[in-house]
Amino acid sequence: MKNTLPCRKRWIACAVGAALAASPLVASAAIGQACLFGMGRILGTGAVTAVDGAAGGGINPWAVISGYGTNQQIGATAFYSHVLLNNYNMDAYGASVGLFNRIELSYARQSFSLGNTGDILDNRILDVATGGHAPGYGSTSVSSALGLSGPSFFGSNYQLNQDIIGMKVRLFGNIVYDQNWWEPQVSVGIDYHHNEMPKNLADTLHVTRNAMSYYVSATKVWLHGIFGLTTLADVNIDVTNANQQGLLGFGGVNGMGYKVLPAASVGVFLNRHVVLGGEYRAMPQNQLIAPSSGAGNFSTLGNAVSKTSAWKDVYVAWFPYKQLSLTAAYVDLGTIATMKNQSGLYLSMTTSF
Amino acid sequence: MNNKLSASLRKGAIIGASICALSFAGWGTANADSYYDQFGGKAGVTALINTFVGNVANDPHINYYFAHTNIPALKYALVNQVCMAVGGPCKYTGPSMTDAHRGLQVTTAAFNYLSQDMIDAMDTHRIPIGAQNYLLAILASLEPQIVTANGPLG
Repeated sequence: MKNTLPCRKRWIACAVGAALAASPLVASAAIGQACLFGMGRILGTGAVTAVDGAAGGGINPWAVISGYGTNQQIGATAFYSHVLLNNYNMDAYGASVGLFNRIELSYARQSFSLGNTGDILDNRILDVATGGHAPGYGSTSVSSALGLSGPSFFGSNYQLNQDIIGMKVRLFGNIVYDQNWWEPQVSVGIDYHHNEMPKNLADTLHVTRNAMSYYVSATKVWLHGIFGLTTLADVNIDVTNANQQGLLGFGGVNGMGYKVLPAASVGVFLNRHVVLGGEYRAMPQNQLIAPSSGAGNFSTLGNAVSKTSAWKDVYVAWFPYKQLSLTAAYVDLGTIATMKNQSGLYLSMTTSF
Repeated sequence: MNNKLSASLRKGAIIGASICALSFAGWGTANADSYYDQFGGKAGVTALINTFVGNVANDPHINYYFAHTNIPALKYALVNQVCMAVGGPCKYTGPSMTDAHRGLQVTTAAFNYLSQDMIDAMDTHRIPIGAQNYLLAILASLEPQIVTANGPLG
């Protein structure tokens, strides 16, 4: 009884959906479930939300379609994530729609805060601009030599923001039902990134602010996997030129800089609600600011800023019920914008409806 | 150089872990006999099916599918089917899953709600997780024979 009421409430939405796609209603009318919006998939199969907004782990998208809609249903999610690193913080939030367990449309906004590290970066730039003989912080135009503005370009409250619009299409396979043979669920995805960094910073870094990324994701779940526990393995191929996933722009001194890179995730469901796992994601390494063999200090700074590490994490995700998942992870993002050992805590929440 | 080496080692380790997961996911599949014991033998399976059919009857998502079903016959068939699936000395003699569900337009959602009713029943009877997953993997693999209702995109 309690489950039939929401469906009735959503009747208007269903009718609107019918105008958009008449065929699903005809199909579902045959079995008496004329509700286009539903959560008919199994708990956990919507996964959690990666920082780029796609359904997956914490740093990798997986081949699953977001939400809990079946092939006759539309589902949706919203997420918020916070990453606390040694020198930086990142906030990410967004939403997605999963259409008929086939197409996922997602949006994410990332804000990467430099915090006090902005002052440190200003000083490093100042060192370069003055050849290491800085006459005192704040008294010289820190970054005029780099074409940047102001005595302290980043200051103590600088944010790098980007928007990511994603589309993922499931090509074949089903993580739950393909149990008797090897076939994984395979999806392809496209992300459009728009970074809001000012043009002079993008020019200095020699990056573009808008770019597309592409990936293929193959996800396999064995319901009766390792030690009888439900086990997940995911392998992705990324085709991307996104520096630090686009937070430092796209490409570099040497051009577009697209690379073909591997990523992988594993997970084990300890029970129906808790999954433990780990992830790895290779990042493209593009030369920024100045050629590595270029003029002295600038190439040194360029090399330091260009240094990129693969992203890694170990995570635990909790699915108390379909409407909610909570994820905690220890992430290791390596070197970001000259700062080494950027590891820390990742917390994320996804709601599905 | 050292960094690059260790980075590629780490990369290898995680991709290797994925491949290991693939190779060793079959661990425990040979334990069907002990799974029958973990289900409590024939009596345990019978009790499980009683609870399961009760759950289905109370599940508004799917109970109307069974409005005209001969329940004692359904329970008898399910007991034999599950008993056989988990390695017990039983024999299911009913129709194939394809024949039994022909023309019913069973949806993926209905199949999943039924699976959840089975999970709830197994939890009620405190069946260990490995034994549960063993049965669920068999049930899941039957989906293509049971679900015939297509969505707009397949």
